[in-house]
Amino acid sequence: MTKMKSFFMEPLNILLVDDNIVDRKLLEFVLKKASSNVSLIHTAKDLKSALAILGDDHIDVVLLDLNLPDSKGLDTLQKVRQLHPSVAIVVNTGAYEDALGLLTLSHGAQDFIVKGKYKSYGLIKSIHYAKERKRIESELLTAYKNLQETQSQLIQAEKMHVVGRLASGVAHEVKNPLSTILFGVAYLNEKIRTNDEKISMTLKSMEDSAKRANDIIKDLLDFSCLSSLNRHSEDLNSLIETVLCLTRHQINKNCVRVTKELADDLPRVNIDANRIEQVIINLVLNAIQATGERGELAIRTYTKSSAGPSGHSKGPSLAEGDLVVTDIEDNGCGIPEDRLNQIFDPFFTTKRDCGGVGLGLSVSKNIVELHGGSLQISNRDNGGVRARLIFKI
Amino acid sequence: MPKTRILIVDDEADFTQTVKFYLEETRGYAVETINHASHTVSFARKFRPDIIFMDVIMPEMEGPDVVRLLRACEEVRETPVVFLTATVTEEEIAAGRGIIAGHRFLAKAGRIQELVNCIDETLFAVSQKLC
Repeated sequence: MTKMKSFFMEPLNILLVDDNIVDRKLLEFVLKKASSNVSLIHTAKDLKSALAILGDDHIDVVLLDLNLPDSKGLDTLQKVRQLHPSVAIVVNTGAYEDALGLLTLSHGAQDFIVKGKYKSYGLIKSIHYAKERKRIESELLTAYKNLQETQSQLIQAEKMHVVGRLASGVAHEVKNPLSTILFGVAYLNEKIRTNDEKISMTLKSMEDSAKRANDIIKDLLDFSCLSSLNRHSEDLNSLIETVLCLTRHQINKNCVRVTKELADDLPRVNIDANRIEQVIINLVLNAIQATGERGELAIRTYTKSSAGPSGHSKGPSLAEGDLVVTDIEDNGCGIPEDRLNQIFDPFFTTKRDCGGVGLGLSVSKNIVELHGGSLQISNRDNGGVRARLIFKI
Repeated sequence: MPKTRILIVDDEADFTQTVKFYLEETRGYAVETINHASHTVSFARKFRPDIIFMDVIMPEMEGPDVVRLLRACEEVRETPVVFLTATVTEEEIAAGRGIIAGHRFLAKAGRIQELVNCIDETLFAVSQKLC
């Protein structure tokens, strides 16, 4: 009750849009008479000037005539909604357009009035209700978006949990037969002294396959063994140099050009160097594979204030809670938009042909989140993929 | 010179047989295998192995329990035991330089050379102790 009361006391900024000067003046007159809360009334005689006012001033409610010199019918409503989604709209229809009025409600108008049929009290009520409906609508939208986000995070967390449990169970069962195969191959290698190239090749393939299966199990196990991190204050820049050294072979093999922009005054972060090194190696190898031969790989580190607007900030003013960001960018073909939400799913891979099993990114994400950081993968505007690694100071 | 005697305790018969073949034929050791953990102590007292490889998770009895029984038995109390298991990863073992909670470990699905090195190192350590 109190809320309702205070709500109707709030001053209202209204924009009247009507090409007919008589209708405009009449509405203005009725509004001023009806409520002392109407603090500001703007008027516009066509859509273009209405949109300009909406762009410049804060408007609570638009009283909108649909048939204007530069726009007709529902089109007018849709243009206003698209360009100014937060403003409440009351459509002001012609005297014989009740049906159109109703239709506007399903096209995003909050209410409608019919010319010549409204009274001052009904008009002011309609305007207040429209504003309140719009407020509730946007709150609902925000809540819905948050809910969707939380839901997808929960689903992701549950997937990880299931894979973790599966991993530790499966690992033991699979490693036993793998050991038998690996030791068996070693035995045959010793016993069969032969010049038959096919036998040697077969034994080698068996050994490689068993090792690959073992690597998959190891990656899976990373899910279930993440609980203990060995964290120290580390310099991300030198970690990146180490990674570039470790991946030098792949970089040179593919003739990938590497550019580095590592901030001189990058603060140290509290991380498990081995784990994060594993993450960065993974991201760099992904980038190299994505660019193919003669591609470009850019690595940047910088700090970002968690409070201020986005952008690079300088070291000395940094406070606890500020962010250390590492961007790893390639100029490859990017990730198809419809696949972007799948990239962190275990066993999702676009590199099945090149031996990818789809655990690298999900393991990496787990590792980073365990540090309280975040790993974001997105397509760059000018092509390729950006992997962004964020840690709090 | 008597052959080095090795005992492998693991419920996976395929695995123990493969290790036995390898170590006997490429290294010349005397290797015996046990697939039922509860038979370990009585067999070890007769066989008197120089080193025992022990799985951790087995259906009848878990590896650490078998080791406790071995330690309570005069004849095999001092026999070195290495846990050969899939329950820990190579990284976890490497982090403790082969030792976890005071016990020597080897990860399953590792290279056979690691097993061979482990035997050599363990026997060397025992011989040093005796001197």
